[in-house]
Amino acid sequence: MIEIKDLSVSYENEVALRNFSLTIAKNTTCAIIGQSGCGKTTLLYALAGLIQPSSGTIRIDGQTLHGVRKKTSLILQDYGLLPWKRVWDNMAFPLKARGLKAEEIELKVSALLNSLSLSEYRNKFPAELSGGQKQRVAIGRAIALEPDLLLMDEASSALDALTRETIQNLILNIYKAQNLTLVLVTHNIEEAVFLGQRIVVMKQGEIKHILDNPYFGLDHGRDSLEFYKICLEVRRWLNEEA
Amino acid sequence: MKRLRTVLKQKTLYGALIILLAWYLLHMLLNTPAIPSPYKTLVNFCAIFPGTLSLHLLVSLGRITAALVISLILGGLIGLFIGVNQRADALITPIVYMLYPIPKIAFLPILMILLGLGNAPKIVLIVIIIIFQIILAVRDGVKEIPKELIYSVKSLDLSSGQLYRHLILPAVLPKLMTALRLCVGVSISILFFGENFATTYGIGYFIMNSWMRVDYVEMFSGIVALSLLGLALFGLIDLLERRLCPWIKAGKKDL
Repeated sequence: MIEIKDLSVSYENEVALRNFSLTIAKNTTCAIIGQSGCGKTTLLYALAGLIQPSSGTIRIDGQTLHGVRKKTSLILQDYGLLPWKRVWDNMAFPLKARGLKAEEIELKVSALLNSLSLSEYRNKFPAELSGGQKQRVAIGRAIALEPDLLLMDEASSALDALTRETIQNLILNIYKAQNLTLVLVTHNIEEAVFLGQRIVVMKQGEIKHILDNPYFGLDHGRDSLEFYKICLEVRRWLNEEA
Repeated sequence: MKRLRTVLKQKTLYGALIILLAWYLLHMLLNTPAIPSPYKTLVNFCAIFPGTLSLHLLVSLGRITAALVISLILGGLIGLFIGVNQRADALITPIVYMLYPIPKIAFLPILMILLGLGNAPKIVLIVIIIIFQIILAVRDGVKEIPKELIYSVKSLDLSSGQLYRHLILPAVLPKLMTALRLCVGVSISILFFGENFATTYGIGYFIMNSWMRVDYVEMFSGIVALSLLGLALFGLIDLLERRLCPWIKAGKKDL
């Protein structure tokens, strides 16, 4: 369980998050949506332990967060992969850094590459991959660390529409297959509705509205009219002036 | 025709041919002993290379290598330090900017008073000139790492040693290679100046000495040797770059 209490973050003179409080239950998903500059990425970095809040606390599984946590994985839009490492190394080096044995790493990475249909690219550099392939490697690297909390920042925003759906399906399947809590930040309404059990609409560093999403996780969710009704509702909240 | 095409494919050979041709034309047109014929020079080069030129070249190569290694280590460390540490950047960078443009070549007499007449002042002279390029290249390399990439790697919970190994050093390496290439060119020209004082060895000394003796054929042999030294060093750096930074060419098309 994640408990965010009265969290405030400022950069120099600018307030990015103001007295932000939110509770996310274990093994659920939460989509945070808002226009750029609304503080959603700051929230995600704070959850990852990468930036220090000016005030307030984040507790994960009852423990107050100070810095990076071993069981949290972060997936970013574009800059997640190291350009100088081949696909295999990009997935393997965090495991090496955690002291796993070489055979263990080989088994794990090979299995992941296989399940993500990336085996033939194992010796490629990120620059030689398409956007969707890169994002699959980043997802693989995050999963390899067996997180109980997965944070994603605009994980599919840079991709074309079809690839984006493939990646979203992949993320949903990973969520269903593994026991983890998923927090994703996006400005894409359909992504938020497809992947968010709860959808938090943010504006200027504060929560504007929280929606429960009954259509989360349904197969062929995108084919139903109700799915788009929720999308419309989110859109209304996004566009509404405070 | 076919043979010409194979020659064109060998870029180095092609470059050598162009230079030789230009040289020969100048020799013919100007008709002065100051530009000896390429043929005569190359014959002389082959004759004096084993006993004389190679010795001078080796001495010069030793000085350049020592200066490059010292500059890489010292400049690399300083560059990393000010790249990673913002306060150090604010304190040290203005000093670097003020010292960088000073004509340090004028310090050779001071260096000779301080360090004697041996190799030390020549090596130090090269170091105090090229180290600035290395410092700035490494600093910029660190500063240009995208913020998101830093966050992404930090989120993996690495030790600071691992952060240097997996993120910072590889990010700096391509810049360092470019700086190294510039530094080799600059080192050779500084050496040419430095080797005119208090030494009887080194390719710079050899060339100037031949000039003083009005032996233009030997002078040009020395110049050819210097050019070949540069070629070898640049070739070595290209090779190193391909080995150490194979990702640079990945996914990129030639223009």
